[in-house]
Amino acid sequence: MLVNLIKKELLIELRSKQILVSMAAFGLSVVLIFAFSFSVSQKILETFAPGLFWVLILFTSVLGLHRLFDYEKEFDAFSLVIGAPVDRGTIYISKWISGWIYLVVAEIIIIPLFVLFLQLRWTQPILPGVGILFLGNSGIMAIGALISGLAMRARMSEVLLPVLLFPLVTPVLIAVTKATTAYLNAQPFVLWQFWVLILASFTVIFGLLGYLLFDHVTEE
Amino acid sequence: MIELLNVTKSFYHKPLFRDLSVQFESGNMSAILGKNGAGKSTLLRIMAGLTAFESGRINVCGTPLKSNNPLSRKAVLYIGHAPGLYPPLSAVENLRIAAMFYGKNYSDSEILDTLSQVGLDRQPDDSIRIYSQGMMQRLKLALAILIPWKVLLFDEPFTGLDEEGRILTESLLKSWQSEDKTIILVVHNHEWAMKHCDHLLVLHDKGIGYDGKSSDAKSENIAAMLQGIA
Amino acid sequence: MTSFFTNKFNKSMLIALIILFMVDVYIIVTNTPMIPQQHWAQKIFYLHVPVAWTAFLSYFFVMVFGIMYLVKKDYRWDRLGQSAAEIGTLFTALVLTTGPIWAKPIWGKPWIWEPRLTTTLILFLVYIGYFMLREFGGHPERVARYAAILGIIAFVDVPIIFLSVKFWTPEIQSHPQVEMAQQPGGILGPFFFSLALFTINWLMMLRFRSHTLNIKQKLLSDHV
Repeated sequence: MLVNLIKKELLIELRSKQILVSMAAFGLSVVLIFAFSFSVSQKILETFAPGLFWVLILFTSVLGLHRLFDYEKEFDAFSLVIGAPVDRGTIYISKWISGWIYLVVAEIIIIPLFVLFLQLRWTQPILPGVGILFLGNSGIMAIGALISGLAMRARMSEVLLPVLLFPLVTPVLIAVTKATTAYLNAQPFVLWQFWVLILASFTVIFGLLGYLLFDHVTEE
Repeated sequence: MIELLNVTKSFYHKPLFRDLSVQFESGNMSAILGKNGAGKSTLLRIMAGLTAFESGRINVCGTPLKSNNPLSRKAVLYIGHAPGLYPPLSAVENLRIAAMFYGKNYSDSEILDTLSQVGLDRQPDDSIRIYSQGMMQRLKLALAILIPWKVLLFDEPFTGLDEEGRILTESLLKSWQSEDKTIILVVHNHEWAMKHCDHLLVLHDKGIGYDGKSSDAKSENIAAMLQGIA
Repeated sequence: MTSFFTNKFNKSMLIALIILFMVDVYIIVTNTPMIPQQHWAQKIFYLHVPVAWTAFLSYFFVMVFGIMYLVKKDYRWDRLGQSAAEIGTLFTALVLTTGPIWAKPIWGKPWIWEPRLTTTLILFLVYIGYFMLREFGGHPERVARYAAILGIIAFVDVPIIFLSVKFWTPEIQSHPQVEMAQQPGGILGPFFFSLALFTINWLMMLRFRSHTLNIKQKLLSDHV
């Protein structure tokens, strides 16, 4: 069922392109703004870059999270899903994974331009970077999909979502920025494995909580 | 068969209905009647497991309805006011996905056959966003044909339909009625309900105004309750 | 539907708490040792730590009441949860006020990213969102569920936030507990007196607030 649910999410996104277009367009315009607003030395910029990047990704993911339940609401398709014999925790997992996929696709567009426009040097092997990226995304989306479900039916959900998400997601932001900095400065893994551990445990804990609590989110 | 025991539901802390106990038998077509705001649609959504309620129990074919037990929803199909489908997708895609939620896999030709049965075979690949209300209503019928259910909860099946669609809906309801299934409708026209349904439930004054065979009901009493005179 | 203080026990507890708090202040001012270099600033320790304890106790109970509500689906638990959240946020605001007052003379600046203080700030922000959710979340039957969920995830997040902030700024190490071991005797007695007093006060505040919320609910549901 999980695979089918994810297929459904991706098919809808393929038809509407709403989430990906808004995430990519937003991400790119912020990269442009960054490029214009930081006339500092290259060295300073490179110290700032990981933090800047993850703030950008967090803001971009908020745009996607706003849309995550859009089509469930528009024609009340959510009634069909939660009325069907589908485990409601699985619905959460499918939103989490599809959100994660959207974020990765948006990053594939954003990262090269971020590196290019800010003229950053990237000399490290790619693979650990991809690992950090994947973990950071899954941490953000694990709590994001849950909060998005909570905010879905609320008034002012566009304000409520970031106000709830940002403080709760701080551990992910701290950990992923630290890990990225350490990775770009070629520090040995032992020095930053703690941050990977934080990211992994955050993902697991909130993934499980979301799975357990989503039963109570779905009903009106 | 679906059975409600002492179901209580409040909205903004004001009770919508208190201690509602009703049984809807299989092979019966039932109608829920009541004034606007009496909680007809809410009751339907509660029986589908979409809306939480404060207290009481609901059994669907003997299984208690629980939010954490997906199988307890397997026998029920809820068709609401809204289309309940995904606007960016086509009719065929929507029906395929909806059937998949209920564990059914259909080929495109099977779905197309059903669509032509309800008179929607002209634009099977267009987004359903362009559908009129009547077309949506026919699409919901296709959903009810494709998904295997034992209890059908249908909110206002006749809204926006033309004469042909109306006849189609009635004949489908009749054929399901003869298959020993449970059909529960929310309708506004109580005369229609008295003529076609076996069982009437009138929600009145936060409780039950009438619960029984439609043949035993007095039209004037029902009408009075619906107009708020009684 | 009676006033909270018509109850004799509640009335005598109120009077006792007022007197005991005055005693507490008196002890703190006159009967506790002066810490070298910290002088009067250190006296806020006897309030700051119990206040912080009360805040975290409240938020812990928001989680407990949240779990109880999700299991029992009884609005009493929701109202207790809301009471605890309100008290917790009030005391968190006090922590964020007394913290900088103490920090200024000791660290030289009013705000440093000390893990406890930072975690408190982050929780305060989460609970701003919590009250927004209560306000804008829709009908109260749903809000009760959503608030319970948020109370649970907020408290589960606390240790993760704390750990990540702690290792984010490893150079900041001085927080009350570490200092306490090195401090002269005569501190523990007044400190635990204050702590106990604040805990009893918390219990009474919780009872008072849930009492008024119960009355409000009763008025709302009776007035159709």
